[in-house]
Amino acid sequence: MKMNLKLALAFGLLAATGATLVAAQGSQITLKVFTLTAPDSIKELNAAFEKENPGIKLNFEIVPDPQYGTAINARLAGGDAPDVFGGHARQEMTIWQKAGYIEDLSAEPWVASLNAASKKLSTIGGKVYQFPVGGDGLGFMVNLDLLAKANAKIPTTLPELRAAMTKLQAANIRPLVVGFKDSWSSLVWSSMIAANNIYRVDDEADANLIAGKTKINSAAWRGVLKSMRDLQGFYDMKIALGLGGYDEVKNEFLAGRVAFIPFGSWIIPEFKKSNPNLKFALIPYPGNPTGTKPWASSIANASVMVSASSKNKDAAKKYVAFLARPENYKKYASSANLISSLKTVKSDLASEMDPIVDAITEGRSATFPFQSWPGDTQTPWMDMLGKYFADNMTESAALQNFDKAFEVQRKK
Amino acid sequence: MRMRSQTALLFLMPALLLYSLIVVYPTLNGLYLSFTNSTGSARGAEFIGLTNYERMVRDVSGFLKPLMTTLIYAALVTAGQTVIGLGLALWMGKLPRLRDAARVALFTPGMLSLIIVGFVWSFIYNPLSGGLNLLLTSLGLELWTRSWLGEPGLALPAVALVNIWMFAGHSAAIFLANYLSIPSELLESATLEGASGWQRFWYIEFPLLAPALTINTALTLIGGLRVFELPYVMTRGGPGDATKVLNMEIFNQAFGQSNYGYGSALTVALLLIILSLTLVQNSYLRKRELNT
Repeated sequence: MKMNLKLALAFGLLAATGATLVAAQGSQITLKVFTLTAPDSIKELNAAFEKENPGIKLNFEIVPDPQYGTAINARLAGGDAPDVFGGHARQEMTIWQKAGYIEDLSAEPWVASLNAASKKLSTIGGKVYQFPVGGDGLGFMVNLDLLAKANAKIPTTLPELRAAMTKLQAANIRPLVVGFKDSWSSLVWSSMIAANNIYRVDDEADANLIAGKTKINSAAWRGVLKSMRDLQGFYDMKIALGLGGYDEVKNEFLAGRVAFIPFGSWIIPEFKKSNPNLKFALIPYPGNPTGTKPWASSIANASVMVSASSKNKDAAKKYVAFLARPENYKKYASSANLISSLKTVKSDLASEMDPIVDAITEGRSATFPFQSWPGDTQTPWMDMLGKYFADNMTESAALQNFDKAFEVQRKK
Repeated sequence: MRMRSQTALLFLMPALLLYSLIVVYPTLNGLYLSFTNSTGSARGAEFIGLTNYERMVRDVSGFLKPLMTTLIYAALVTAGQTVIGLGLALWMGKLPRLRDAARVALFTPGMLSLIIVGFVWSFIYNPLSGGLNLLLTSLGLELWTRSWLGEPGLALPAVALVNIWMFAGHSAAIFLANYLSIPSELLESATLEGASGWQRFWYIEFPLLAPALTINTALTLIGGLRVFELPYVMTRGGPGDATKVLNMEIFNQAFGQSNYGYGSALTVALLLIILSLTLVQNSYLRKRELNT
């Protein structure tokens, strides 16, 4: 049977179209992005990236803490590394860099725009391995209504904090809630106390520790632990040991049942959304002596890294560079209420954190120590705090144990 | 027609291959890893012989103490779940009209996710606004309120209680199936002979429930020794190390500190402990079954 010419042409056209489609699909890259956190603006930013790069499709996945660490480590160890993935600022970067999981990003265009602290945080041996998405302030969250009800003023020194909490107790208001069950409250609180009593007076404190010239088991660090225990008249130790420091403490504050909790600035958008009537502020922890100003503890938020084994390294780097572009980064950082990590961008921040921002701007802030100390010292520090409170250990015994863990990390 | 052994092997092959792939290979690989210093890094691992095992037997906080906590937890759960399961089964056995509804109601908690149950009970145990303390306060029992997960002596039993709450229905279902197979003539004749309720239970029902007791205690003991999710979600091993079970240390070594070699050695040790305890318990209870 002879084939009709029109039919043959139609088949030919169809085949050609199919071939073109297959070819087009072949050039399409699917970029796997796996991270622990992202602001609301990420959808808009991701859509803009895909529009700007029609050959790249994003497969964007968020697994929040505390599951993220497990998930990403399992994927990295299993040889299923995402092209772009997140981390807790410096915490994992040093481990992953040693394991050969992450790509050197030193030649990327945004590196020159990083502010000094962010660049230091992201550098190992002179090479930059991550894009830090911004910073947060750690301090005491204050319920302003409860403070007013007890006729107490916002404290700016340790004696003032004690006075305010005494007034709150007299007014039958719970002054302070901390949760030591998971050691989260004690972790952040200890960093705030250290900012006020160690880093405020000693610029070289961390450098000397890392060089092995000093030990954690020192009068200054023993004072940090003792300071938390000394205030247990304002929180019940048994309650603290049975309470989760993150969600459960946060919920007490959101419900307006407590005047002070130790927390970080990233939670402010969630507080405003969940309870718009809550009047609160985030202040630098007033753990400083009379006659001085309180210091804030600052902590780098998440960071973004590129997999060293990625088959799409160029596209991955393009994505990170897109996020770091000033107009995009401003959207990202403002939406997440993050202090900018770029010299060229000033993010819009919630007014509730003005006291913390003022402290940071005036240079009254210290970096979260676990982002400066070598390797993963945060986990042993949290373990140590858990035992210090639960087993009623002495400061010296607890810190001696931690010194051993610190030494292991230092020598790695 | 009898099947030739070669044909049988051919039919078994797909299942054997799948089993080897997902069970045998990972187990053997885990065993191999336990003799290495693997950190999961792209640079591979070195064979270090028995070093991980030598470290383990000297590791008080990372092995011996968590092992003891695991054994206490498994004992609490096995005893609690068996006794409560048995009680529930006897209760359901005597109430045929309620039996089906009760069985479903008691079975339901065990069908929930351990993670979800852990979170829910964390809120119930919350010392400030948790349901349990609020209930006790509303009943005028304020003195009984506690920081359930915050007191070292209370935390482990509090977590074990959640485990028992979840799976007592499973134990009850197994006991009930066995109970319903006891000939009613036996119990009726005992009643006619003047046996009291307790005597009927102790001399007739309980000995005849021996097969269910063997299965229940074996399953509960294995479940108790393998525990991870509930203490992980509810206490993170605290206060201090009061609820840190062996699987939490394995998780911490492998996924927290990337010590896959040492984590694997701990896993092998736990596997051997579970195997030995289950074998001892099973052989004892099987002998008891035969004697009855």
